[in-house]
Amino acid sequence: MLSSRDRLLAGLFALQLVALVVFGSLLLQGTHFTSTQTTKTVYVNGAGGAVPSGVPNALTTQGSAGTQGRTTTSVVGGATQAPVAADNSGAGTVKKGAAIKVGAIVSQTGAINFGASAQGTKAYIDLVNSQGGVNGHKIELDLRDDQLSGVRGKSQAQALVSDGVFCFMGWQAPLTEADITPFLAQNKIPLVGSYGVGAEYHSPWSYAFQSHHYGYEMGRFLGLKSKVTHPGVIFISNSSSAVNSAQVRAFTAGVASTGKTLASGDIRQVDVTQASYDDVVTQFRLNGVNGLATLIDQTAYNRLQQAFDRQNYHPVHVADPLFTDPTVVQSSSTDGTLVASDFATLDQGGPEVQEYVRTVKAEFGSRAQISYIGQGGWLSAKIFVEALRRMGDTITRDNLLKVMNSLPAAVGGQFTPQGLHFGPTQEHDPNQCLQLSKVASGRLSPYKPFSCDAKSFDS
Amino acid sequence: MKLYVSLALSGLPIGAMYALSAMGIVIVFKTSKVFNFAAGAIGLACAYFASTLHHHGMPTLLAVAFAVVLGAAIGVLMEVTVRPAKGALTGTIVTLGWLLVLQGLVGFIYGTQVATNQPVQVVSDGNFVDWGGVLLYSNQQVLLLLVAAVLAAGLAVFFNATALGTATRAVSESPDAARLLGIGVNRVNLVAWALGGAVSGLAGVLVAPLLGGLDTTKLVVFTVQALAAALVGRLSSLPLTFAGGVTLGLLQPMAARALQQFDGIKGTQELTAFAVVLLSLLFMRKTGRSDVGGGLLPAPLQPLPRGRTALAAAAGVALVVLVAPLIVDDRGNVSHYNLSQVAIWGLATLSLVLLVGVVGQVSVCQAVFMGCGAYGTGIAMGHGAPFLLAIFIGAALAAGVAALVGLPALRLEPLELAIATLSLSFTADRFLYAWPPLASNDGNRPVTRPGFASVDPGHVADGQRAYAWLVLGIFVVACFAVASLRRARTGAALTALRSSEPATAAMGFSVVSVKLRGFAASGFVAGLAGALYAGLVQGASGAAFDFTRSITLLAYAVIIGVGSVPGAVLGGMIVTLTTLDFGSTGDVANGSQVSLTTFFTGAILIGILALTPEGITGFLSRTVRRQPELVAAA
Repeated sequence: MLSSRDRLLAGLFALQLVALVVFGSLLLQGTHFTSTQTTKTVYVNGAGGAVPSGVPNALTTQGSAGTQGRTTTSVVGGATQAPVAADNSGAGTVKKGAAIKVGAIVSQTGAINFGASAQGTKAYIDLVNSQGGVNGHKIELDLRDDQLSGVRGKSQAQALVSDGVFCFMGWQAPLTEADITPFLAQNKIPLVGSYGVGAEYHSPWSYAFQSHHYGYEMGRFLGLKSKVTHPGVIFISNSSSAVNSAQVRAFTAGVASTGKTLASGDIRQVDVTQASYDDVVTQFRLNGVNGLATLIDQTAYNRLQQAFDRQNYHPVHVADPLFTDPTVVQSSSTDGTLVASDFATLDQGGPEVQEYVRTVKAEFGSRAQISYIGQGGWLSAKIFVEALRRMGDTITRDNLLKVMNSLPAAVGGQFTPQGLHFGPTQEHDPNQCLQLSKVASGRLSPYKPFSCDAKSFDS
Repeated sequence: MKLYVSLALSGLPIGAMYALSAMGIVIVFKTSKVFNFAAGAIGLACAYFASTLHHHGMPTLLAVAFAVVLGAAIGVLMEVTVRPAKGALTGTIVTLGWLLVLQGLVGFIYGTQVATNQPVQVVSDGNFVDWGGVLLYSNQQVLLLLVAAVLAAGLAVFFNATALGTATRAVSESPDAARLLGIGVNRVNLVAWALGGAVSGLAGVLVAPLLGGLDTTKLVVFTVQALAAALVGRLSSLPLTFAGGVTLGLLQPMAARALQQFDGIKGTQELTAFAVVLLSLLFMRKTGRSDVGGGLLPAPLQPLPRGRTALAAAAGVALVVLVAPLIVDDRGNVSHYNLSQVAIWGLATLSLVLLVGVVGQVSVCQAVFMGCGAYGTGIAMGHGAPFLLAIFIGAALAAGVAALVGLPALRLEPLELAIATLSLSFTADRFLYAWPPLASNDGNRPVTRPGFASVDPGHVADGQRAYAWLVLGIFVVACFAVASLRRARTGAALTALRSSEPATAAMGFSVVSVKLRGFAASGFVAGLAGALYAGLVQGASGAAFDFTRSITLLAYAVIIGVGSVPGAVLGGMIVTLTTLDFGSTGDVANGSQVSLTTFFTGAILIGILALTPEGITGFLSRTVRRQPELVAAA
């Protein structure tokens, strides 16, 4: 006879099995399989896919190259618009007329929030689909929120890749992106329009449309102001020491290019969640710093401005574009702030920029978020769609890279009037120019036109 | 010198914010011995509520008053749901459920974007004090300082000099004795929770304007930072809590300035807070009360089955391990990747089963051990160690760190240890995971696992299926090892320790050695989980092991019942489920779906613990044990 304890344990093991079945059933509901679609998986040896031109060997030898490759082909029944899973070998082909499945991971919940980017991307794709798609293809955007969780972000990237997304697109997730980028490169999945972490400016598979010349250019803009005799810098500390060091070098060199000096003690790296910046401002004020360049996020700007006001401290201030986010409270004390930006500002942008504003407002109503971040999401989708148009019927990942590398400078339209630079030598650092605007009564007016003194200090 | 004085004084208002946020926690803990994780979320709800009322034209002070009433009401509701919980730990996890409920509700109503609402400003933010540029405070900061000081003093008088306060203390010291004296324990608890909720609500309303705008996370995170202040007050003294907050506020800017010259040191604020927590816990007098952790620990671990049942169970498990990777694919949510995730998070849950269910200690920093295991694996591989050796080197590193963490456990009560380890988790996020010797200059160490092509020929290129087998196999072995502990001499020592330290010593065991070994073993298992996760995602990064992961791991362990080894499988499944997406993403970019999920997760958590305070497996165990009685009754 079994003892009650034995029965308990046997019951628990049985329960686990039942849970496994229930768990499995639950998960099956979330696999996005449709009854009209079957998937056949064929495993082949060494199907690494063609290496696109201009790709350094070091990166192409990572990941699955040299191991067994996998090709997934899909037989689509029923509706011809059903999305087709692309293979992960680098060749990734989408059949004529089939929807193109694109993945996007954007942090939309948490202390750092890029919901505006998700709205911009989704609004543009919805607009294109409503007009019939691109070359007969609808775009199916699988947009995920990693909730600022590394585990979720990785899991989502894994799921999207294994589901065979053609590529990733749209501004992504700043805190988890650094981990995801090498994974995408290993799997040879293009990333069109990323946030811009260090690795993305070096990976042949990713394209960041945000400039990584902010440090140098902002330092230079600050040094050029004759009133500034003692410059200082505040920027948000990254978990990568290499990125932080590169940022310090960039600011220092930017200021030095004007003949002035930025002392190492006058550069402060701060945490984005820091409850107050009173101590930082106190230090700068007492040290006689009279010009500040700041590269922080939108809610941090509110805390910084509060500290400025409390201490009646008003140095020459060169801020990044997040200073113009609608969530940053503008007042008389913010007047005169100089804002560096690699995109046309919302105030100055032409009809294309206004189309972004109008479309997002129409789609998201009272919850629409119009901002620099949203422009990034919209612009990424716009450039991706333009690349698709130029690809014609050859919708493959290799062709996407080829087309991306040959895009004209004007592809960003009025969002980037200074032009973006694609090509064999600059293909992954396209945005190298920044302009300076001045805040007056909460609005921006032109102050210094786009300057393209491209100097990279990225790690 | 002037700089340091100014820096210190600039931190005083932040100190008052810490103190005010911590007071709501202390008031509740004083009476119920439950640590209210939801204090920040109450503040969040109240701040949004006040903002809405004010936006609709209500005068500021009236809006604040209504918000405080809402805080009190939430406190009362929480008390009702915490009451059925058996033990402080279970009650504490119920408050975690409330955190999710409130955060989800606010996110659903107002959206999850940042700075959606302007917080109510009781006074203008103009300057109030300007002493030669050395001391500069705004009206808001001065108001906050005054409110915190007055509340600390006033509530101290209330608890020491009024009949209700005396009754509260009596309930706090011994609920049973208080009941015998005719004190309405439930009524006193209700009052304490209402008071705690009101203070948390007031703190949220007053602190929010100084945090740069309202969103669904910042106030909650800030309250975690305020823990140090609560611990200086030993979770009982409000004046000491105020002093702790102020001290922390004064120290943080000075420490940040002093450490500024060291390029590799990040998270100086959190490091300072952690140092304050450790010093206050280690050097202040012990409370001497044996009930601080009273009722904290769940039922002890059940031993392994024997005989035919054991064989049948082993065969069943082996079958699942062998078959499961064969029947899943690499697409969608049912994938080898997620199968591996289940085993890895199951292993992480198992480390808590070992620590809480066997050793009788509580930790809210298991994710830190996982992070150490992951980075240790990356370091070992960087030095040429093969993957299968590197994961054990990583686990050994985690075991060493866990043994260090176990040192304070020699002096601390279980709940105090829990809070200290939570503070460590927070510090690890900012400091440890950005510390180049551990995390490398990039914060990310590559971990390239072998393809296992010879083990699993003709299958998935990157060895996902073979890796799932490896991870499942290690998980099962670890489960049997932990379950077998009770048969060994070490197990006997741990069992004795769990019951009584003097009895353990009388049996000839060294209490210090047994505790440290317990921590090290738990750290090893957690480290192994972290190492295997690094192998799964082919890289070690701290982003996966943040402080919220430590909290949720403990929460899930309590829900499933930390006395159960098989329950670790359920834990693994639950954590994996939380990483997946279901249904459409149609509402993307307004946060409704995420907020609803958060809300219902919290509600389910509260519901499960209300129905089965001993956890799911505990409930099942009780039911099976009573089966003969039930049959007889039928």
